[in-house]
Amino acid sequence: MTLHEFVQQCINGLSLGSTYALLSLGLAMLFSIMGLINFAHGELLTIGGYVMWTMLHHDVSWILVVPATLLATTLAAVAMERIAFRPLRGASIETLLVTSFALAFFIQTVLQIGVSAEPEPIAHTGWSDRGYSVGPYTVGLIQIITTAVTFAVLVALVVFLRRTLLGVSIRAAAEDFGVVRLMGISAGRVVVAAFALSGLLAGIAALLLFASAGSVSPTSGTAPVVAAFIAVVLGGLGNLTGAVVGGYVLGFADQILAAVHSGTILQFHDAVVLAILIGLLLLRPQGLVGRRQELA
Amino acid sequence: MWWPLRSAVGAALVCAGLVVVAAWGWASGGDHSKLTHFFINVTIVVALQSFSGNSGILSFGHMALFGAGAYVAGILTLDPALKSTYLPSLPHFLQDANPRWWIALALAAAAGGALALLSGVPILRLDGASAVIAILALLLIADVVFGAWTGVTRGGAGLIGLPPEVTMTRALAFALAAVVVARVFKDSKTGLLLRASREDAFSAASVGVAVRAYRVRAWVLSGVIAGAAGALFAWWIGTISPTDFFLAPTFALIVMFIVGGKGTVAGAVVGAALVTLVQEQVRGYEDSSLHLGVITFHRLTGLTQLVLVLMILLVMYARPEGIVGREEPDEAIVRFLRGRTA
Repeated sequence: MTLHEFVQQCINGLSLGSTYALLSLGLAMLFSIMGLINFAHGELLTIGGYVMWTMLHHDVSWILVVPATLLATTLAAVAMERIAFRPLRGASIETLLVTSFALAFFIQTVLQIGVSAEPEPIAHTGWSDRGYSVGPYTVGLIQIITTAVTFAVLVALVVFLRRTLLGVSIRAAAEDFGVVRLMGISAGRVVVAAFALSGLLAGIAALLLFASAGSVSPTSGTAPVVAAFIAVVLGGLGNLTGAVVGGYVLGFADQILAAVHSGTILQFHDAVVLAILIGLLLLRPQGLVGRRQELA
Repeated sequence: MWWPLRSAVGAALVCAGLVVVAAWGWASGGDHSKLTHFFINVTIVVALQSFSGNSGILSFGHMALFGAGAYVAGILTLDPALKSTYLPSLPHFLQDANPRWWIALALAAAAGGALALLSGVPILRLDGASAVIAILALLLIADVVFGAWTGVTRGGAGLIGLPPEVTMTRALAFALAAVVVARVFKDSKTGLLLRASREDAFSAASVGVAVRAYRVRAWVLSGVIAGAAGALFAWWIGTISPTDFFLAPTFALIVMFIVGGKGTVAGAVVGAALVTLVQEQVRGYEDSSLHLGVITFHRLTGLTQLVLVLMILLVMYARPEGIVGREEPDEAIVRFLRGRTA
């Protein structure tokens, strides 16, 4: 691989990694606060996709599509918490995991029966295909937007988590929920806020993803969210910085390996990426950013 | 009484249940396909129980082991004439191979065990939720390989026309064997220490339990049973493709495991019975349409899945320990006779 190709793949990796980072942040937040591995996070993405499809299908302007999608995924996340997870507050990690797995299948099946099992086309907008040449490199407009939006979101999130009471409560709850409650912070509010935030992040990811994906189906959310799971574990489970780092490492690894792979091995690309990441975890079971906990 | 014998006698109650179901099948005659499916489901869920039930690490990766067994058995026993058409690039020794069913099944079980050993040593270095996700990654890797290795698996087109080598009696025999093996394993030293680590891994490790090594043992045993179950499944269904071993069947398997009760072999069997009942009875309605006043649903794709979702949610909210609960039925009977409380 030439240096030129390498840089080009890094540019692609940056934008792919941004999408993963948005998803893995939402996942890591819920895991660190309530020990929930939320399988149904991908369905938030899918719901966002269907909202976009419905509105764009009826020629609604993008100016309305963006807030409507964000609102829909945020509300969906809050509804998930209220209906499915609140009755299970304090349940074991396994119970929460299985419930979220079931919830994911529930939403998929409802979309299959209610809409269709087939993919629905999301019209490409003129701008989502546009690309620019910067010196010898090609940069898609959607890649620039994805990266810029993600960076802006990360900055806003850091400010929120450091400067507001609710943000600090969320960070504290990630460390020790019991102590946060002893400080007189309402547990319900912290959990709802975390769900809303993860829904909002999923909504942003949905907008960026489906603007260029071209179609949405009931199972669209599965692959990206599973990749985000891997990113979360790679970064160090329950660690917000780690989730972002893991997302970007996964994005870069994916794109750089895609350039190296050719011919038959290209079909095995996803498997190779996953196997390498599991190999990385062998060296650092606590994740790239995590703290070490030894078990015999 | 010597403990393995005591465990086997304990498992006899569950085995008797399975034999009664089979006897009902023989007596009523006709097509035993649904009961065969039930016994195959029992075998695979018992495989899952012997790992996840004892170690406490929920596995989303058993369909990878099951699929490996299914593909090995399928490739070995496919009619050589069909093989040369479907899989022309297969090496000659596989091209000409046409072993007896039990040899193919033994090799499928070995493949499941080998894949488990290969994957378990690195993956089970992880703990808790990280291990769960790494095992899920194994499922994804297997799905990519099943789909992309077209020279061997025929990819998404699937292997068609596998010989119907499985009869209800054979499936019953393997289900019984799996139940007894899983029960003896559960009561063995490895099983007992593993269950101790399930309750508190750090405490167990601190008193010298080699948690990781025991987990790998359970994972490999589980892989062997899953591989054998995969072979039976391939012959039962006749056509296998990657989607038969991905998320939807994984979900059905998890439902079987959870609904009956995670800690007991009897629970696994009860779960398999309920899920098989849903799969066999509801599937027929998936192509029909439903009229609800003004709304008409043209196809009910995924109706089976919807029923399974409702089933597992009901259990999660109402009885998280599963229908059977924490004790094997024979343990509960012994306790009752001795007049003790749980």
